[in-house]
Amino acid sequence: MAVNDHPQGDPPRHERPRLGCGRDLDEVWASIDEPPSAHEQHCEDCRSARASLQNLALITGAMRENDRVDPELQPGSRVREAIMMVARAEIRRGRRAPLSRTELGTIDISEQALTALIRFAASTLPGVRARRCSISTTGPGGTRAPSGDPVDVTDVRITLRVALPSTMRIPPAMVSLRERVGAIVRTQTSITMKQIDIVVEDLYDV
Amino acid sequence: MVQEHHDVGPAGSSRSARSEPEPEPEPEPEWTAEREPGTGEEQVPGLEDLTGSGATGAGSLIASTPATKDPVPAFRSSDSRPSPEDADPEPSTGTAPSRQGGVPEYTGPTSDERSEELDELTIVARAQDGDLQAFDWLITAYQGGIFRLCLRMLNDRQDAEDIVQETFISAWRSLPNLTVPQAFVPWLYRTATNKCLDDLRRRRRRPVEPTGDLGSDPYEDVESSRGRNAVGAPASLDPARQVESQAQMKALAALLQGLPAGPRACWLLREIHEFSYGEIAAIVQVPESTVRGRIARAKRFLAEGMEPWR
Repeated sequence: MAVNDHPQGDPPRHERPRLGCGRDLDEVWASIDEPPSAHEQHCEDCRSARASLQNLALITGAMRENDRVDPELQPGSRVREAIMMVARAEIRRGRRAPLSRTELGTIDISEQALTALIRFAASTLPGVRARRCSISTTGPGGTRAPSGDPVDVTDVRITLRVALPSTMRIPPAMVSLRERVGAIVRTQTSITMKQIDIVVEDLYDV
Repeated sequence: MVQEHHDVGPAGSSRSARSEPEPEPEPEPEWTAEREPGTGEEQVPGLEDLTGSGATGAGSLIASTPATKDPVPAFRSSDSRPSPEDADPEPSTGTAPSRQGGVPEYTGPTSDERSEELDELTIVARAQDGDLQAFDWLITAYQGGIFRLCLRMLNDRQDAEDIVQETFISAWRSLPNLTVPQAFVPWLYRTATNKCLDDLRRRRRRPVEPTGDLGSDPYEDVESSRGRNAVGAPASLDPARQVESQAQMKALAALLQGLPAGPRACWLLREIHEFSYGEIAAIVQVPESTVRGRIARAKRFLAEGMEPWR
C-alpha cells in the first residue's frame, strides 16, 4: 500500500496517512463496504489500499467475533471471587434503624436492608422496576440527623426512583405503589413511614 | 401516617410525586443527572468528565455499545407478589444467579408472571445502592470485554486479570457517586485503559520480557489454537480455512503489539469493542480528531503488516 510517510506522534488532519493520489486513508476505510467509486476503480493507489484495508477488515471482524466467545479470552474465576470478596467486605450498610427492644438488646435493621425491602415491595407491583432508594429522617426541630446516628424510626421518609412500562397509567400506579410499599414495610419492620416520594425517572417500552 | 396521594404528570415526563412537602425544598431532580444530596462524599474524579461528554440521552452510551457486553442471561427480579403477610423476611431485589462454567443461570421463579427481565440502567442503579447481585451481574456482563482489552494492550494474562480486578473494585467504590448510570460502561473502559497505559509506561522505564501470551509468532502453535478454539469457532468453516483464519488472527494479534500504546488502545476500542469516535475520545481523554488520527495510523500499520496474508 503506497502511503506518504509522516513523523511519529498523533498527526493532525493534514498529516494523516495519505495515499499517493492524495486521498485520506480514513476516507477509503469509510467506504470500504460500498462498491468502489469511479476514482477508486481507476486509481492504482486506491485499489491497492482498498484491497489491503478490506483484508484487514475481514480479519478484524473475525477476531472480534472469535474473541467474544473464546473461553481462553475470559479472565479466570478467581478474578470475580476476589472482586466480590472486596465488595462484600465493603458493603455499605448505612445507618441502623432500631425496631424493638428486648431484654437481650435492641433489634435493628440496616438502612441497606430497609432499602432492599422497599425495592422488593415496589417490585411486587407488576411492571414496576425499582431503582435507587434513599431514606432521610429529619431530626428534632426539622434538622437532618447526622449520618452516624440511628434512623429515627418515627420519622422515616423515603425517595424511591422507579422505571415504569410506558403503557402504565401513572396516577393510579403511584397510589398502589405507595400503599404496597407502606404496607409491606409496616408488616415486616413495624415502621410506619411518614413520607413516600416516588420519582418516575424512566419509562420503558413493552 | 400521613399519606396524601397526589396525581403526577402525564406519561413521558419525569415527575416527582410527593405526599408531603420537603422541609428543605430541593430542585426537581433530573433523572439523567441525579445527585445524592448530603452523602458527604466527594465526587470521584473522572466520573463527571464522562457525564459531560455525551452521556446525556437515556441509555445512549450503553445502548450504542452492544458489543462491549458479553452475552449474559437476563437479570431478573423475583417478584412473587406476596401479600404483605407472607413477604419474605429476608428480602432480595433480584435472584441469585448460580454460576455454571462462569455463566450465571437464573434459578428463581421462572414463570413470566413471577419473573421480569430488568434493563441495564435498573441493574446499575441497584448496584449503586449496594445490591451485590446486581453488581455480580455487571461483572458477568463486562469482565470479558475489559479483560480482552487489557490482554491485547499488555499481552500478559496475569497483568490483564489484575487490571480487571482493580477496575471492578474501583467501580464498586465509585458506583454510589456515579451521577449518570449510562456512563458506567465507558467509565469501566476508561479506568481499565488508563491502568493499562500506566502499566505500559512503567514497563518502558523497567523493561520486562514479553510473555507472548497472544502469540508473538503467528505461525507457531496454530494446531493447538485450532483445537482450543474449536468450541467457539463457527462449525461451518472448513478445517483448512479455519486454520488459516486462526493464523491470520494470531498474526494480527502479534502485529498489534508493535503499535504504540495510544493508537493500539484507540484501534481496539473502535474495531474490537465498537465504541464510537466520540466515546473513545471520552475514554482516552483526547480530542476526537486525535482519536481519528490514531486509528488511521493504526489501520495503515496493520493493513501493511497483514499484506503477506492476502
